[in-house]
Amino acid sequence: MASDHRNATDTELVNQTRKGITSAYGELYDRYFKQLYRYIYFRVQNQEEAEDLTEIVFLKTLESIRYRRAAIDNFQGWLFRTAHNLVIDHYRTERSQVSIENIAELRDSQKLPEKQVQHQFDSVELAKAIATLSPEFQQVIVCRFISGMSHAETSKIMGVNQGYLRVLQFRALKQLRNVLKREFDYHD
Amino acid sequence: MIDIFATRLAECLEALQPGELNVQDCIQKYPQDSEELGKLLELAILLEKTPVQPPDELFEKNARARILNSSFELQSSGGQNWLKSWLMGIGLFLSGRPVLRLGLIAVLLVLVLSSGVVFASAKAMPGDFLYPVKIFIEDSRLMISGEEKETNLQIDLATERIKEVDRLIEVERYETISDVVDRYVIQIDKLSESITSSSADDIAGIDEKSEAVSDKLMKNIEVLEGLLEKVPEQAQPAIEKAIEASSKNQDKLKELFPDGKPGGGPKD
Repeated sequence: MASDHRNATDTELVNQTRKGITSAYGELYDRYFKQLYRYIYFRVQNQEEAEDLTEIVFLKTLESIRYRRAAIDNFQGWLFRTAHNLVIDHYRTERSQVSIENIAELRDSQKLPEKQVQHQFDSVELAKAIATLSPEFQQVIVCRFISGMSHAETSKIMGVNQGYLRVLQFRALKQLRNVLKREFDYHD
Repeated sequence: MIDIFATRLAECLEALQPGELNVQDCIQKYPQDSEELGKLLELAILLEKTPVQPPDELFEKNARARILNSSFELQSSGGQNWLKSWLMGIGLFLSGRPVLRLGLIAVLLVLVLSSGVVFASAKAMPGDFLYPVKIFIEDSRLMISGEEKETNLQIDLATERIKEVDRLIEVERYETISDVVDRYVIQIDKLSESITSSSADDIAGIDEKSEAVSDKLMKNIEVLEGLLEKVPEQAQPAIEKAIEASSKNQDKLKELFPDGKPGGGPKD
């Protein structure tokens, strides 16, 4: 049903949604649901919470499209910024859950098993390592390597140019490698 | 220096993702940075492979339906900030006071009806500026209609959606048809739900309603089948969905009666 919108740009779909064409928003949902879910899941480490928060982000964004007068030129960036803010709020209210704040405190007792280091990271352990990085580095790592966004998409979301993003990416990866080696027995 | 290395790393990562190059190719391309480059690329590959518990497929589908449904509700409320806030304020004030709420809607309706906007909105189509007004008027009419008239009004409003589809086809606005069909499906689902969940004490009433609705649904199916032949391929799935939903609800109504014919039995 959404096939009519497949060739439309995000901005065109946002404008159509604003005019009341609901299926246009359905296309935006189909475009970004999985990427957004992956981004949120990695932050909250719980399937049900990630599902609920993903739905809330889409609802909030839809409401904003309808009631906001200003143009929305970068829907994807806006969607992920909404998600970022929502996850932060979620951490503030759900203290019992694993969060960016308390995740770092837990890392001391955690070690990555050798076999997982060799072949695959465990997402909880990796989240703990990433949580020790600065917010900017966390954002680069999660957007680029967890949600699978391109350099262009990530730079739009973070509001930085691609040249600066490349430097951030390099520094974030280097620092993450140091944390993994120091705290989690990671070997190159 | 950092800039140069960061650019090389980014180039390699971009080439790795579509499989144009592998780590070894990148290292050979930039031998002066091979050690550092190799380590960071291997780490990036491990990060990308990190498993994430996938979302439940049913949740993904249901959440989509809920979000699009809420879009209809937002659309019905007009899409104007000030109007929304104003109505929400009044709604909160009157919550739990149905008599006052109905009275207020009646007053609003009189005001809107006398303003001429309603006449202009009656022919509005989805995507038109006045279409939300049309939906608001329809919803308000449903809220103030008595129980006896509600079923007829519901089926009339659902039939109006079919007319809208017809008009959209005439003006070749195919991209909007699926929205209208979605609203039609919600309306007839609610309609048959209200009949099938009616009190069992009122057998005659249920019988009469289900017969009337079933007849209308049959007519809608006939119209939709005609439209299906007229529309281009891109709009066919939406029309098929409307036909399927109409048939499904017709079957649901038939199940209310053991002999399978609404109306309580043969009427020769």
